[in-house]
Amino acid sequence: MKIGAILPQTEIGADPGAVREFAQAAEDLGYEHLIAFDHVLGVDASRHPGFSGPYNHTHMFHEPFVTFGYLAGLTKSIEMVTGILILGQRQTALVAKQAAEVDVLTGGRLRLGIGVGWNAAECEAMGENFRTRGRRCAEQIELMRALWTNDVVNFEGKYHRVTHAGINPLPVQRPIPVWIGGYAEAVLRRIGQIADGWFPLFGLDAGALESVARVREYTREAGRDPASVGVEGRVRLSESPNPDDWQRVANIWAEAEASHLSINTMNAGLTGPDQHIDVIRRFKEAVSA
Amino acid sequence: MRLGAIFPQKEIGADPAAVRDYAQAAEDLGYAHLLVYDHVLGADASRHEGWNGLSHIDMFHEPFVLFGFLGAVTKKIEMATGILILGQRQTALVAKQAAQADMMTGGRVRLGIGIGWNAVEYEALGEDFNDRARRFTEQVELMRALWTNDVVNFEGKYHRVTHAGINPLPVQRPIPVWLGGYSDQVLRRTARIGDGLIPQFAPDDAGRERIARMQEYAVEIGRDPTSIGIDGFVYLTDPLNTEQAHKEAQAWADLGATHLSLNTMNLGLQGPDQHIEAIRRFKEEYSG
Repeated sequence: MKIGAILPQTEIGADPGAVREFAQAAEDLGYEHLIAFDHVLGVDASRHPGFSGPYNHTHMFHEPFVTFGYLAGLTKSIEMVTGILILGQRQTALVAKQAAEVDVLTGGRLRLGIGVGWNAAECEAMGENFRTRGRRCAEQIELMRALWTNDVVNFEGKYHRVTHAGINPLPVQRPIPVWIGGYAEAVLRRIGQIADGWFPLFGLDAGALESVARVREYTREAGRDPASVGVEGRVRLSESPNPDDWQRVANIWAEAEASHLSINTMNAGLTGPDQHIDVIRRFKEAVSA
Repeated sequence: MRLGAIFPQKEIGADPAAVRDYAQAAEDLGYAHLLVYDHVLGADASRHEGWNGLSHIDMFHEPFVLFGFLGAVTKKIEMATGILILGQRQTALVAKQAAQADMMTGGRVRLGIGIGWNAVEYEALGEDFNDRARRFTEQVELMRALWTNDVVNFEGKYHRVTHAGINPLPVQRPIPVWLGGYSDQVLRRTARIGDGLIPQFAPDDAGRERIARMQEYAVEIGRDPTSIGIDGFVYLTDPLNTEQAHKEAQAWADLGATHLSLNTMNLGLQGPDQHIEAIRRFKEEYSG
C-alpha cells in the first residue's frame, strides 16, 4: 500500500510556514501522497437550527488548488490529493482548469478526489443546486476528462454546454486520475462505472469490507478490471491512538486489497505542526515495520 | 509610479521553472508587482464565425493557483490579476481563493477584475453573459463582506449566503479591488466602488478625458479621487529601443497614474530569458 498523510487542515493554522513544514516533513519521511480536504465556506451552527454537520465556520480549510500551487514550489515528489473536493458546488470547467494548472506546476503530481458533499448551505452560497448534485456528477467527470485530453472540446450534455473551446495548458497527466469519495449505493455504482479509485470515507467494520466487495462487483459489471480501481483506506488517530491499533487497521485494509492508506491526525487533541509531524513520523515507522 | 511587469502568459510556456525564473527575476530587478491576465477557456477561432481575439491556442496560467506557486518562490513582489473575469466565476469561490492566495503570499494580492468579452467562455462556465455587468457590483459587495467577517448573512438579487463564512480570512481585510475596462459604466463603477482602475486604453487625449471623467464621478459622490489608484500599461514595441515606451510611461505619469505595468508580449520574444532581458533593460532606464 502507498502510505499518505492528511494535511491537518483544521488544526495547522493560518501560517503558510506551518503548511510548508508539514508537507516537506511528509515528503522527507517517505510519504507518497498528501491529502487535503475541501470546504469553501462553513456555516454558523448557532444560526442553523438542527445543524449536525461535522464542520462549521470555526473550522479552517485551506483552499486545495491554491495550496497545491504553493506546495508545488516547495516539494519535489509527493503526490497532491484532494480528498475530497466537493465537485457538485463548483463550476466543472474551472475545476478542470485549476486541476490542470496544479498538475502542470507539480509536474504531474495531482490526484483529484471528488464527492458530492453534504452541506446545503455551502452549496447555496456557491449558487449551485444541492438537489441535483448527484445526478450532475457523472457528466461533470466526463466533461473534465474531455477538457484534459483535447485542445478543443465540443460538448452538449444535460447540464453543460461547451462550444468548440478548450483549456490551455493541458495537464501533464492526460487525464488526471479521478477518485470518488462516499459510501451511498449510487456512489459505489458510479465508482465501479467511471472512477479511477475510491475513498471509502468510513471507519472499518464488517459493513465496510462488504462495501469494498460491492465496488469490486460493480466494477466487474461495468466490464472493467476490479484491480484497476484503487482504494484508499484510512487510519484515524482519534479512533486508533496507539501504534498497535495502526498496524492492526493497516492489516485489515491490506487484506481488503487497498492500494493506498492514509493517516488522519486531526481531532485527537494535537496542537501545532510539530505534534502532527511527530505522529506521522511514528505512524510511518509503525506501518513500514 | 510603482513599476510592475505583465506576466508574459502567452509566451512563457508550461515549464514551472520558467515561471519561477521570470517571477524571481522581476522581483530581483525591483519590479513592484506582477500583473496576470486571466482566461479559463479559449474558443477555437476556426469554428466561431467572425472570431477576432484570443483563442484556444493562447496559453493562460490560472491566476490563483499561479499565485499560490509564486507565493512559495518570491518574497515581496505584489501579485495582481489584471484582470480576472469576475462575472464568469462563482463569487464565494473567488473570495475564498483570493483569500488563500493572500495568505500564501503574506498579503500581496491585488484583485483586478472585469466583466470580460467572451460569451463562449461564459457559456462553458455555466454563467449568464447578458447580465454580467448587472451582477458585478453585488459580486464585489459580497466578496468584501466575506473578506472582513467570520460569518456573513447576505441576501442580494443574485446571491444568497445564509450565516456562513470563509476561513481563513485574508491577511488584507479587505483585499484591494481594482476595476479594468474603458467604458463609461466602468468609469462610474470604479468611482463608486473601486480601489483603483486598470485602464484598457492609451494615455492619449481621449484617455486623459476618461481619467478626468472617472475622477469627476468620484467627486460627485464625495470620494477623494486621489484615493483611487490608476495602473497604466505600456507595450514594449522594440526590446532594444525603449524610447517610445518611456514616452508613454511619462504620459501615464502626467495623467496621475500611481502604477505602471510593462507588457513584453507580442514582440516575438522567446522563453523566459528574452522576457527577463527586456524588463531588465526597461527598468535600467526607468526613473519612475
